[in-house]
Amino acid sequence: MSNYLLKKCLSLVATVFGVSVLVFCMVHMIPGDPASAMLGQFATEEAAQEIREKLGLNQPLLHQYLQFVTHAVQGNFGTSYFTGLSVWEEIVNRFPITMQMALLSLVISTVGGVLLGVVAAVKKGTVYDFVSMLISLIGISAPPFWIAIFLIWFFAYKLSLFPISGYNGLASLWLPAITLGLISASSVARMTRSSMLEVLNQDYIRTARAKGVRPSGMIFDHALKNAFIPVLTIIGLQFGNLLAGAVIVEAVFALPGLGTFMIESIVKRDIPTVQGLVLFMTVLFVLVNFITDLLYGLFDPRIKYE
Amino acid sequence: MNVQPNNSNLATVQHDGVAVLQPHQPKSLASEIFFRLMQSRGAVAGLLIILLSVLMAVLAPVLSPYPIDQMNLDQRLQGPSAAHWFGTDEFGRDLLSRVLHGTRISLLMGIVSVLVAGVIGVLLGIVSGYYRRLDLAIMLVTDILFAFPSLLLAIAIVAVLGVGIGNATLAVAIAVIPYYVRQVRASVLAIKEKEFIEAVRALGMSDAKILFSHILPNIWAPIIVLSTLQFGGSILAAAGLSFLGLGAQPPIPELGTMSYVGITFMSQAWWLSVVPGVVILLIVLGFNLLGDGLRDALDPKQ
Repeated sequence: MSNYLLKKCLSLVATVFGVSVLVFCMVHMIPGDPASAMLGQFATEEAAQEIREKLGLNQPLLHQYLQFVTHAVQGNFGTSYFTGLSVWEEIVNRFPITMQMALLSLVISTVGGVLLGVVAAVKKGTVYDFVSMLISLIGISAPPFWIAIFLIWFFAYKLSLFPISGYNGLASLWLPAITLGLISASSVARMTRSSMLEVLNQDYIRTARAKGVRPSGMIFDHALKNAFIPVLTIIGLQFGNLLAGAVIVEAVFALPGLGTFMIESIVKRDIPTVQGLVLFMTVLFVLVNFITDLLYGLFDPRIKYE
Repeated sequence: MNVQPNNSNLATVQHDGVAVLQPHQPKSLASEIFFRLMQSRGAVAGLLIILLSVLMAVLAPVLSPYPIDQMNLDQRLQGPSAAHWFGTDEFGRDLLSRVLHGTRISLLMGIVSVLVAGVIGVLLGIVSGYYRRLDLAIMLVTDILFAFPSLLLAIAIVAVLGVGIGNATLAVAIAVIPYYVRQVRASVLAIKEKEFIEAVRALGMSDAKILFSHILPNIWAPIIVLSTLQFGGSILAAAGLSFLGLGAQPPIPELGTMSYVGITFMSQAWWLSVVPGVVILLIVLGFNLLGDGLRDALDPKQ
């Protein structure tokens, strides 16, 4: 294995370890007594004691952490002490909704963002540039829920093209995915534009143009391929925003995904479930960024893995 | 400073690594940057939007035509009219008055979270960049915090601290801290090796004095840009948390909370959700425009 790959793997392990420690600490950072805080106003001493026993809060910290990690690795995030359901089962049931929505919006944001950015860079200073940058500026400034509400109002109420809320298959995922896609497309477009502008000024682009490469070939093969690494990084980072943004968008569309599960659990002060969800989503995000790092080699052969 | 002659009547001046094009009469760096900022239409528009929203926020009690909690059940869900410019909500309260107060709350949540994050983040970043020993520990925690999607981190912090407007603001602040630490640390590392720092160190100046009177004044530019952009981001995040029911609770006239309540009435009264959202959009847009303009005006490459 190459040094590069080894380093990346080590840092992956270290990051996941760090994340797990921080997520584990959540329950101990609750101000006051965690057990009574979780029970809220109905706390009785017996109930609090029962929760402490159940969550192992009376065990030594190291023991608690090891148990937390072993369970997490086995996909056992415990059972919710409110619903009695297995947290892992709940995650597995809801994950496809969130993931389909995230992947759909990732496609929308990559295609839309790269196109907008390329157009803006190639037509720099023209009205195309101005309009694409205005769209992406609004995209990064708009609250996700506002875009979602606007899309519902227009496409679901006015045009009745899509269902308003709830989940019945893929049709319900389009509007939420477009919402999230628009937001991340904006960041992707801004990064693509600035990265493309830098590359378009290079000598080899002038050479390519001088030797008569077709403009489309020049833009996509010569310029975009070289400008793509920073864009790829942003796309990887957008995945995290998509997962977090899913929490908001799922709330607007009443989709039974991971996000609504998270909010339900927070409102019930079901901290162990929240821990499981945060850990699951963050590790997913870390893995996506790890894969993004590995993809660099596809676009820049100077980054070698052998 | 070394002044190089230029082919126009402008000269490029090197000032602490920031190259500035300036007319021949010497001006201060700050007025130079302001001049360049004012040439960017976007930045001027951003500044105007921000000034307007600050004005709205400060004067909210004076400008509001009705008290924010005055209910009038005969006037429920009225559309925009001369009496109620933005219409009325499900209790017949005037939406304009509530949006004005909402602007105030959003700006306050933004200011508080950027200030808290800025002070803590800048301090940690300086310490991390200047002292190698503390660097490892601080960067370890920062990197781990960066592993979380930042809105998810804020949500997790609210889950721990409990729901409420203060806790949501604090959660946003904590999620923003890593951005300051990384930015400031990088700036400090770059400037620490400069000769003038070596010189004052050789003169026996104390670390604290070097940090605050020589390093900090030289790294403010990226901090200002980051703060302006984070201001918009924090307002967005705080409104998002309130929208989810994790921040401000009804009947507080917070823009995110109002948007959420409005969804229920979307078929009869679209303005209840749309208007508060547009206000947030405009405020954040203002900060993003100004932030982009500032970044360009302060960019040494130009």
